[in-house]
Amino acid sequence: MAKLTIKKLSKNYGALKCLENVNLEIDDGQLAVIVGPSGCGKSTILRCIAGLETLSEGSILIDDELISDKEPRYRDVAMVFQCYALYPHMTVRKNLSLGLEHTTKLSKKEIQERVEKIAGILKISKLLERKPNQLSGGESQRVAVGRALVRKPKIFLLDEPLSAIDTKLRRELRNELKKIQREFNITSVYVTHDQEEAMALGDKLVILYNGKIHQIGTPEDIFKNPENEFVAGFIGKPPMNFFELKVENKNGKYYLESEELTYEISEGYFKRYLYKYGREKLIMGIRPSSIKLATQNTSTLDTKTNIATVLLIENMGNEDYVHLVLKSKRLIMKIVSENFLKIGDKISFSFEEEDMYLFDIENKKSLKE
Amino acid sequence: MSSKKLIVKNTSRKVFVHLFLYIITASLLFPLFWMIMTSFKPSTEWVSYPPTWIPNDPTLSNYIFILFGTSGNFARTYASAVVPYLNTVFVSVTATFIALVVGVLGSYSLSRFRTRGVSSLISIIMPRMFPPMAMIIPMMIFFQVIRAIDTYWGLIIVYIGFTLPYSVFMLKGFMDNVPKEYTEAAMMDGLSEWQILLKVWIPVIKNGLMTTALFLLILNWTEYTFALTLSSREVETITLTLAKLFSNEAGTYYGPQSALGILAAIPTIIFGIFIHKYLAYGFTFGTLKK
Repeated sequence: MAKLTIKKLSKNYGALKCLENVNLEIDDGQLAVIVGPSGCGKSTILRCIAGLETLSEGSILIDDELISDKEPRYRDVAMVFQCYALYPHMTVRKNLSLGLEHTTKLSKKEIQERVEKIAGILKISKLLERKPNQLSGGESQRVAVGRALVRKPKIFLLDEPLSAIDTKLRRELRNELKKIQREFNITSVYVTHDQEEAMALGDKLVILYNGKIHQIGTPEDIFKNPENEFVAGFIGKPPMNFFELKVENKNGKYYLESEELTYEISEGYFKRYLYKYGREKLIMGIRPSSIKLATQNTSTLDTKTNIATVLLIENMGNEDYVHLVLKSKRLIMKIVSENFLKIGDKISFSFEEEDMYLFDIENKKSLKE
Repeated sequence: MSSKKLIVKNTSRKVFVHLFLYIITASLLFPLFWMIMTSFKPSTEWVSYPPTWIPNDPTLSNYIFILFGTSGNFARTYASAVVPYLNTVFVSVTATFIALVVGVLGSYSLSRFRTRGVSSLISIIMPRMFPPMAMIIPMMIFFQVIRAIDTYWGLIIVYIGFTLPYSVFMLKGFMDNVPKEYTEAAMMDGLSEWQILLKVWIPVIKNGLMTTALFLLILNWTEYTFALTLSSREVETITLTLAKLFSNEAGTYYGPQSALGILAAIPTIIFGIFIHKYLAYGFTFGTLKK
């Protein structure tokens, strides 16, 4: 039962700026996922909350109580490490109980009860007398989660806890983690580089890049309304296609144009999003799933349709990722599996103007606010 | 055809490798064999030519001489080697224990807190880089001043100083391999700095600790130079006794020397066997995936 607040957090290693002015609020019982490419500083935020790193600037509060100057053991925060870091010389039981012995005044009997209970919830009761080197990856993972949760901490931190586990089990454990987090109703911060995992897990997504927060929001919100080009390109699989286009006005009609692509937009669309935009060029993004095959017949081109050559088809089962080449530009289209497409085919494709994302060419911010 | 060829090749290779290993092992064990044999030989056979490999006339007189300082077969009598033996046990075990404890504390702080400057390996091992002989004269004078000559504590202090650099050097190597996540997990589990050392680090580096202990014990057990110059009269150690087994009439007492050598080797061999599994298993850090 706790609210976590991070205010103006900065972290420098010498001249290297690792985190810059990070502001974040996570409500009671919420699961926030910090996601970003490797080296963006996401683990550092976690380590700052845990007290394993000192802050260069800013403060961290739990329920309005300043914790950022406290030692880790007085913060009432628990963490699951990427490599689990189970104590190799202790049994699972001891691994689970050690934290309770040192942070609480519970009697031995109460501690054992808590350990048994959490082991039951995590289905590791049978493993209690084993040593960590006798556990599989998934089992170690459960024990690591158990070790963190048995203390009933205010804040639960997870640092890429599923990255060492194979895909199928990862999905299973992911759902289980979310279920457990709900059951315990514990404020959690989860770090991952996998945007799919982030979308599936998070109540709240925090997109971090180069030590700066680029957007905070629900997964749906971030997917639908990315605030800038980076977020748009990072979230979504396969990634969004981007074009650098010029805005042209010919005979009262509006076009987005480049060497590879021409696309007519309606006057209403222009007035809504581009009327005030002063620059000549912009960045247009289109999700692979928004691109539709127009027709096999390339002669009936309308002003919203372009022609491309099929370069590669990735079969994903019920859908295909079709890689296309438009002159020198590559793009990806996601369609329901069609057997008739072949490599080298010329196809025409189109998309709805409302599916386009528009970004400022200079500051990369979305023009569709 | 080709597979047959391969088998033949493999077999001849195996034979060759085994032969090679037997030769190495034999040459390593030969001195020990020779020492054991000599310890059971009467004085006439010690240096006889041609040598007797197995004693013609085996005797326990060498051992009796070592234990009681006298035996019917010897012209001279010595003091029993029991007291030097116990001295060696006391001094080297105490010094090893203290050097190990101090070494653990020192290397823990160097490894855990990554202190700059002093933590450079060279500076730790520096005191061991010039020959002990170079230090002995000033140390003798200093020990005279502080009345430490010919005392147990004096010798123990010297031995601690002599082995501590190795202790820190070796232990730091093991401790640097302790994954930092163990420490961090322990910090979050509420362990204090002392508890992190005692409950996490020491169990994790147990193998390294045992290896270091054996190494230090052997160093202290076999030390000669400091013992000779700083405590040869009152606190005699085995190495000094060995050197004293000599008389002008009979020359070196090879038989009793061998007997004492055997007796002196037994404790370190037993300790070595006792910690063999730690040495053999080497370093396995259980669960951590790297």
